[in-house]
Amino acid sequence: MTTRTRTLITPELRSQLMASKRTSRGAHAQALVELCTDAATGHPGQRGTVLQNSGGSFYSFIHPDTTARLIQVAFTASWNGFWTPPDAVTVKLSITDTVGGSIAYTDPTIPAGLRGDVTYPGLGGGRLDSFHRVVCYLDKYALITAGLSATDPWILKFLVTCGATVYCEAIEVSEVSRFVVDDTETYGDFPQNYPGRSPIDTHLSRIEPTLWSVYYKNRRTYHAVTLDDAAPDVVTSAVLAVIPGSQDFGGGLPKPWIVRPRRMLDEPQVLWGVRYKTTGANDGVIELATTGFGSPYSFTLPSTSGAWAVALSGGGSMGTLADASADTLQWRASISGGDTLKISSYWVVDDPF
Amino acid sequence: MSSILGIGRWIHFPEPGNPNARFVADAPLGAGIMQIASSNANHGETENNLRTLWEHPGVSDISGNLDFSGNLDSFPWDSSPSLTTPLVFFCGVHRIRPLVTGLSPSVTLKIHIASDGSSTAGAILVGRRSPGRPTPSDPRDSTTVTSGTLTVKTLSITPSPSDLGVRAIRPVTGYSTTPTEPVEEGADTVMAFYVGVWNGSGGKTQVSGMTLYTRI
Repeated sequence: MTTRTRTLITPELRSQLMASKRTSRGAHAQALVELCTDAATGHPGQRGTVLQNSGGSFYSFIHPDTTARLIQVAFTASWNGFWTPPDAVTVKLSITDTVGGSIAYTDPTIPAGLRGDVTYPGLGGGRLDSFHRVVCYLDKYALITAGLSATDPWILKFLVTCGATVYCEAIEVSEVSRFVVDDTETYGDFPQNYPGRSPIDTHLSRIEPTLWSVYYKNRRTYHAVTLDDAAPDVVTSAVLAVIPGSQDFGGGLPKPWIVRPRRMLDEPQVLWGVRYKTTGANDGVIELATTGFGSPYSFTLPSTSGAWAVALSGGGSMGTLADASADTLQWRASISGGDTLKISSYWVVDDPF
Repeated sequence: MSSILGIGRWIHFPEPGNPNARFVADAPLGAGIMQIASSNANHGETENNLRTLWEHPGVSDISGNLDFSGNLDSFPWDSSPSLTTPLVFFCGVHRIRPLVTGLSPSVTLKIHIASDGSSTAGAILVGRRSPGRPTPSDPRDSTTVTSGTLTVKTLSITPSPSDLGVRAIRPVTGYSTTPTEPVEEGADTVMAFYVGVWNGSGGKTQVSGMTLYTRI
C-alpha cells in the first residue's frame, strides 16, 4: 500500500494536446492523472442542514458509497436575545443505516462535540461575531468498520438541547475533499508515476477506474429539508395534495425548489424519499415532481402506526431531473382512511446509473 | 465548457475489468482515447464542483425595516431573530474551489419573495472569507420587490480569489485520550454566506423556497 498526500489543485488540460500526430509528453499524462484524481475526489457534493432551532430531534441523510472519507459536521451556538450563562447548546449525534446498522452517540467513532458536550456561544461585540462554531469530523471508514453499511444510506440523528437564551444556529453536514491518494483504493493515481522521458507503463490503467469514480462515486445532494420531529409537516388529504408546512407555497401550490442538475449523461437519476410516520394502519403516498422524463414519481409509504420510518425510492419509482441548467422539485402527499401522515425529513440525491 | 477543454459531455468508457477496457497493459493507446479521457476529466471536474449549499423553506410576515437610512452597507446583521426585525439567515461555511477555467463558480440564491403589495420587500446575499458580521466590502447582491405575489429572484456572487478564506482541515476523528494520527489532512478554500431579508416601508415581507447553490 502506498499513500501520498495530495494538494487540491485543478490543472488546466486541453484535449487538443492529445490530438493525433502531436507529440505525447510525460506532462500530459501527469496533468491527466491529476485532473482525473481531482474530479473523482476533490469535489464531494453531499450535504445536509439543520436550520436555526431551540432544540429538538433532527434527521439528515448521507449516502456512504462515494469517494469521500471525511464527513464534516459543524454546529453553531448563538445568542437568543441577551445570553445568560450557563445557558448552552448540546448536540448528540447517532447514526443508523437503512439495513439495521447503528452507532450510538457514545460510540468511540463519534468525536467530542457531538457527544452531548456543553457548548456556549461566544462573547463578541454583536450577535454574529458571537457565533461559536464547533467543527467535528467523522471518519466514514471507521464508521463502516464499526458496523454501518458501505453501500446503503445513513441517517444522522441530531438530538439538540438549548438553554433559554441560546440557539443552535445551524448544523452543517458536508463531505470533505480527499487529501491523499491511496493505491489500495480503486481510484486516484500518483502524478509521480509519469515522469518525463519514461516509458508509458501499466500505471496508466488507473485512469479508467478513476474516471469511473468521477461518474459513479460522486453524488450531489439536491434537496435536504430537516424538521424537528416534534413539529413535522402534517398531511391529512386522502388525495395527492400540497403538503402543509415546509412544502406549501401558498395558493394551493407545492413549494418549488430550484436545483442545478448534475449533467453528466442525459437526465441524472435521483434517489429520493422521506422520514415519516402514520398515526394509524393506513398507507400514505409520497410524490416528487421534476421536469424529468416520466415525472411525477411516487411510491407508497407503508403504515407505521405511530412509529417513525424511512422510505426511499427504488425500482420503478426512481426519478430523474431534467438535463438542463436548472430544474424544480415539488412534493405532494396523501394518506388514506382518515389517518394522519407526518413527515420530518425530505431527501433528494444523485443516484448515478 | 470551452471546446479546447472538452466536448462538454460525458462519454462512458467500458467499466474496469471489462475485456474492452481502453487502458489495458500492452494494448495500443490512441490519441482519441486520451482526448476522451481528458474531456471526461474536465467535464467531471466542472460538474462535480457544482452543488446545492443551503436551503430554507421560508418565513412570512417579516416586518423589520432597514435601519440607518435604508443603507444596505449598514444592514443590521446583528439583529436578534424576530419578525419585527430584518431576518438574518446563516447559510453555513462552504468549500468554493475554482473551475477548470480558473474562475470560481457563481454562488447563486434563488429566492421567492413578495411584499404585502403596499410596501417594498428586499433580500441581500453576502459572502465572507470567514464567519462574522458582514462588512460593506464583502461581495454581495441584493434585490427588492413591491409585488404582493411571490416572485422568484436570483442573487449571485462570483468570488474572486481574494474573497475566499482558507480552511485548514486537521481532523480528529473518534473519541480517545490516546492521540491517533489524522487519517488525512489538508486545506481548501471556503466562504461563509448570509442572507438578509427586510421590509422597507412598514409592511410585511414573505420569502419562500430559498436555495443557495453553485453554478457556472
